[in-house]
Amino acid sequence: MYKVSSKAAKKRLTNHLTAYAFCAPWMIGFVCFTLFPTIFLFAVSLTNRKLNGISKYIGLANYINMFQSSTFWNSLWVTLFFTIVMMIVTTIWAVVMALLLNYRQKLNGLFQFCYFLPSVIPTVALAYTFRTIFGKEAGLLNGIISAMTGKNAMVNWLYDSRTVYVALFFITLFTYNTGQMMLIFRSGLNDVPRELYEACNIDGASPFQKFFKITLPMISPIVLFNAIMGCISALNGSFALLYPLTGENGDPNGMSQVLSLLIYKEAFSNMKVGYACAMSVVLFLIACCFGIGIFAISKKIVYYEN
Amino acid sequence: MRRKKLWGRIFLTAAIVGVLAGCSSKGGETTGSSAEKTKKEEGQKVTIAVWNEPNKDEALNMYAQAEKATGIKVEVTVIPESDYSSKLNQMVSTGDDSADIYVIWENDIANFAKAGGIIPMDDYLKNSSIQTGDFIDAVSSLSSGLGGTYGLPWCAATELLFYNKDMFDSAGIPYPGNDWSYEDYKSAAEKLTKKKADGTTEQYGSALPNTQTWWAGIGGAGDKVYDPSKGEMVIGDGAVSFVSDVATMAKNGIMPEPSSDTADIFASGKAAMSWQGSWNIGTYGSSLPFQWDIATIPTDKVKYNTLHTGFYSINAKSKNQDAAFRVIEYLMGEEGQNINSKASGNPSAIKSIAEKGAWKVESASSVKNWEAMTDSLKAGVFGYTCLPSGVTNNAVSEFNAAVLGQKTPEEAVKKADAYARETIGY
Repeated sequence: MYKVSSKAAKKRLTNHLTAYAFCAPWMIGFVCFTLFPTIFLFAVSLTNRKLNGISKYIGLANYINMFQSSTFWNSLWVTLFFTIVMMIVTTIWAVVMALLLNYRQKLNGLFQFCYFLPSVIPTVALAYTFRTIFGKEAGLLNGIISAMTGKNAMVNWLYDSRTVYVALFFITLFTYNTGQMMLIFRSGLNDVPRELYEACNIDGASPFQKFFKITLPMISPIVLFNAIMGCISALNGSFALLYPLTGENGDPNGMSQVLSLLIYKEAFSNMKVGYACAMSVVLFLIACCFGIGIFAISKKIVYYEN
Repeated sequence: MRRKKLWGRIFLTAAIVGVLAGCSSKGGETTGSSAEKTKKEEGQKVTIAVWNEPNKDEALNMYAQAEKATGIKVEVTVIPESDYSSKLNQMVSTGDDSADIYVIWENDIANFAKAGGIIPMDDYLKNSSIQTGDFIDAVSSLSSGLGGTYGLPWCAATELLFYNKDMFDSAGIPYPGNDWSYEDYKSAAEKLTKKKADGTTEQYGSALPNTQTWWAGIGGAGDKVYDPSKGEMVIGDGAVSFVSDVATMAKNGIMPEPSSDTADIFASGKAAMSWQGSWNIGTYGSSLPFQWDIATIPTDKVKYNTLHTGFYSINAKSKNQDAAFRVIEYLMGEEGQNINSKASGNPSAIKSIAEKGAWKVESASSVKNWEAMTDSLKAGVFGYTCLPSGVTNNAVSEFNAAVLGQKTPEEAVKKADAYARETIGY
């Protein structure tokens, strides 16, 4: 009896150790590249560390200075605005594109390839391309408008406060994140049972009714996933898009200076690493709040079949 | 027994001498003949970090020439200009020894010295041929207060008015002189502007100031720009006045407004004048499809010009410090300085070398007013370049917002000043 239980315990231990061994690579990666940097980030935010390494503990001074800075508050509002609008715009666009591509028609693969192609271009290259397109005097878009209207179009797309957001959100439609969302939505749409649409057809439902009563509820878990990913992408990944387009100051007049740009500016142009870390902590908390908020809302609006 | 003692003493003396010799040779610079040191350094490799590509013409490549002259292999690490300062700061922070020589910017030298990232070169300079007493005054004053000589200026660049002679000829306007006033400049810019029938501008009188030359305008309008005693940015009425002028000129189509266009409108023949760095003389050379020349930046209330340089300095973590200094010694010598001047169009910061005029770039055959360079250098001070780039770039963004009519010049200057105050002295 004793022998049997000892053998079982040994087997259980071996099983546990095997499981831990399989988990170990991820755990080591998580500790080294996520947990430690996050803790280090919090620690550095309490110092006046400069980029050249000089550092002294200053308590909460970085946070106090940050909350007194009008530049920070402007950046915070821009970040919230940019994140929410970008998330909505890119999600809606990805759903629309997925719906269009979901119609059974000839050359569907070609359309999908053409739409997805800009998404695989590195974001920085994409941004520089659009910077050229949206130029004022030598921009391609103004050239096309001039040719079409016969008038000399001189719209300052990226520097005029009335057009900068239109231009920026338009560019976000071509990023990798939006392309990826479209593919995920497309696969989700394929999983919606055809019988439901057939039943709708029998009942005489309109395409809009079919979309809002069948399609959207059925793909709502995917909408939730994409919304979260889009949100995190807008918060953390917008830097690569905005830096080449509007610079570290978020021109014009700080209208596009999201927190990631300001963090870069403080750390690498002003060499204020401690201060930049304090801002990163705020960005981290905002990302957490967005995630929690979306999950909270999702409980009411997301439909899980099972 | 006596003989044993004698041998013992001889061995002991030899051992002590040997140990002392070993210790001193580790320091390198205090003992040993120069020839021995040179021999030791030959064949070593020294890496230098810079932000611009070495000249493709080997005769104008000062690093290739330094290699030939010293026998030390010189490897050049080019770091893009936009990331240059931050990369070097990170290298200092992590104790990186991949670069033996840094060419560091004005706003970094004090911080690097304070962080122990670079070494004082005073011991080396004692036995060196580098003419440190002959540096232009601005360089000497910038280096003072660091407690040693941590860097040696690789050149002295300045800012100039570049103008299109063909456009001046066609408008019948006399060429700018070094005594041009700011009013002369504004008046000429207006006359040189050509508009299309729909009111849009076909030819601008002047290009918009760039991130560097905004400060020449502000300094010329009477602001101090940079206070070296406090390390602060000092802008006020002068900045408001200059920003207002630029805004008016942009509104009237004399200057283009800030935009995402990246083309150089002077080089593309769309603007008659442009305020730019002297290094563009070498860049333009004979490549422009029109005749052009240079003049001193027009004088407003004050004759003001921003000096630019970089400092050769030795990485404190370098394992090849002696060899690194030998390379610097060549680069700071007459031959090295002349090659640099010929390649870049920037004069040497050593007055006696600069006077010989190697900076008169041969390929820039249309330039006649070389006096503009020496005149500009006389008025040159280290200004905005001593401030963190985040602060000055932020100010330029504010000025651009005012030019675009998104805020008043007063608001822009006030906001730029407030940001500088919360940033500097961190």
